[in-house]
Amino acid sequence: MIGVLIIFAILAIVVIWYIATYNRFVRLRQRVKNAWAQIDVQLKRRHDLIPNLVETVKGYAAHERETLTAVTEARAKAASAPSPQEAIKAEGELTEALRRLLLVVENYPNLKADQHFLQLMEDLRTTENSIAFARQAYNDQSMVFNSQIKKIPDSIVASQMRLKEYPFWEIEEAAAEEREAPEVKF
Amino acid sequence: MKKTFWEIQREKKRAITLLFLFFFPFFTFSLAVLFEILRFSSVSLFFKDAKFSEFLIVSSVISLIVFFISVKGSSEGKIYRYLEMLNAQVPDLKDMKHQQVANVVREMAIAAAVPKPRVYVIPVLGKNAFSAFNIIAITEGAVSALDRDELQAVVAHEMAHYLRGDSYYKGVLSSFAMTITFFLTISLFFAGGDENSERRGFGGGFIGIAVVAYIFLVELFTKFLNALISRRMEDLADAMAVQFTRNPLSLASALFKVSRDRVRGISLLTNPAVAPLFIVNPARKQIDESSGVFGDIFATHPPINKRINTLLKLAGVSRKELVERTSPVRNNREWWVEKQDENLGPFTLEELLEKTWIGEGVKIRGKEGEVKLSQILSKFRPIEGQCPRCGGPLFNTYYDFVPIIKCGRCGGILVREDRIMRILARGENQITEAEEKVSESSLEKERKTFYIHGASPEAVDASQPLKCPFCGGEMWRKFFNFINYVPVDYCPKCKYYFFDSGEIEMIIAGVKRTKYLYR
Repeated sequence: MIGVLIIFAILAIVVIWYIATYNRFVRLRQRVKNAWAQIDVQLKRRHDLIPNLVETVKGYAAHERETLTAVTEARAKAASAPSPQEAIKAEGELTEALRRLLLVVENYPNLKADQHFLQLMEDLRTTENSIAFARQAYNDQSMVFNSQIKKIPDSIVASQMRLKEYPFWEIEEAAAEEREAPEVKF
Repeated sequence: MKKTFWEIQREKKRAITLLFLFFFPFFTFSLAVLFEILRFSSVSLFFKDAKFSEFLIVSSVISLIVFFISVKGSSEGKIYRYLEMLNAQVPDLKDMKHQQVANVVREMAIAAAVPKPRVYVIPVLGKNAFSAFNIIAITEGAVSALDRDELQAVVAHEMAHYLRGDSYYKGVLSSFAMTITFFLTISLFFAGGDENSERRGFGGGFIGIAVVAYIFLVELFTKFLNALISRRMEDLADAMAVQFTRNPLSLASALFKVSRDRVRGISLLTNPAVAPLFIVNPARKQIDESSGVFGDIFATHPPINKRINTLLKLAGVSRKELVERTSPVRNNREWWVEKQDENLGPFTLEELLEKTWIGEGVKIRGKEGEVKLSQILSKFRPIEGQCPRCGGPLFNTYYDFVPIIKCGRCGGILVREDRIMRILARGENQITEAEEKVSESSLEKERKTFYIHGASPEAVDASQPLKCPFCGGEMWRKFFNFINYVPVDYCPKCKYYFFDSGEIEMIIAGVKRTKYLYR
């Protein structure tokens, strides 16, 4: 009698453990995917922001046409990039163009005092930060995920679910610079 | 050895899990023991034939019920009512600073890979922030005092609590503590009660004492465990905040700024039910309590300077640099006092020595790093003898170029009789308008008191004379003069006056007023 009870108890524990681990993996995977999706959302947000920014700067510094067109072109390129690799490269160029624009802006005190412009700067900054944080979150989440699916005994469940490691977001030369949001000084 | 924030996180997580695992059996067992005690008391009618093992089962059922009730009903409504009471508002997006708060919360939600929580700004000047359930609230004082990065760090800390659901666990812990207190109080009520029944040879008195002792021990231990878990949670949230922002320095400087809050403790945030949820304990404890062993054991937050030092180690920045970064030296204000929960300063040397609570226990930090109080005092050529009022150390200094002797603790001053007129003459220019107002009002109070009792020399309470620090003789207690009725102490042998802190200002204010009167 007692023997049967013990066996039942062990079985119950195993089943509960299996379900719990399964659910944890589902949750972890969802978080990795969500983190990945956030990157796209934030990049899109940045694209939406740029025309506004360019318009505002134009009002004060119309003859900086070269810098302004560079930003607009980089944005167009990034928005219509066919492959992820090219998108990463285009985003890097966009960041570079934005940084140049911000340097130019330093010469226009009136512009820097413009409430609307400050507003845009804050928007830009939060977007830049969000992009960096989204990447960081993706890497953090996939690191947790990757190490979790290799741990014994969780790896048994993982292999049953056919879970695979997520690759880290490799930082390329351009993207490496992009990690640091452009320094915005008010 | 330097730990990474991942390692700190792992360590703290393990500690919290272990403590929780310990808490359940502890709670169940203490309830069972309680029933066992009740069995011997006058309520034994209900429990007479029960066995200890049955009690154990009953109490574990009660524990589980309490657990589920407190998880399910974890007073979310209470938090909303609390926010409403504080008049907390959602960030006003037309205000740049508020928008920054909203943005930072969004960024941190992305970094933590969680859905965005609700944000509130509490219109209170104290610098603090808390998170409960899906709410993150930050005070107006913190919003204005912290820069964007620091704000981000504070929000990241709160985001960590939100992600881990710490407020739920804290709710569970506190409801366990409440349940224990509830049962214990009831048992006390019964245990002392029925004196006529003489069951099992135990008198009511014995049971009463046993239950009181038991209440005391269990409550103490519950509090202790609560605090232990709560402190680990704060450390963990700090480490997670570093993971989210990858910027330990900004959290360190945010904590540093928050710990310098001058309106801490008098703001509306000190409600004990919510205090453990804040990033730093909003209640300012008595200085002497917080540094003691008991302060350590029952504190819900780790000592803030320990937290700052951990973060600084992660950032690889020295404390000196942090202070320089957050507050450049101005007007010789270069002295800092470090206590567990507060960083006070910057002070000038004089201000520092005026602080009554500075003893050998607190850390003092100057330009060259940490210094001992005795080292500072030795700079001032300290004098043999002790303050007649408080026994504190005496040193030579100046009151507007007039040499005086000052107590480093209570701020009382000793002045030679022939120098007093100089102080009165020069002090008139020294005193600010605000100080004068304060002095005048206290002067008025003294005047009224003595006016009622009749302004005779006997009206001064001279029953406990002070001892002169120089000759050891008794000092006279008398009015400084019969216009202002400020009682002072005077050694007739050494010809020294002793003024308590503020008294000389009162006299100066009085002199000034008399001048107006007779102009």
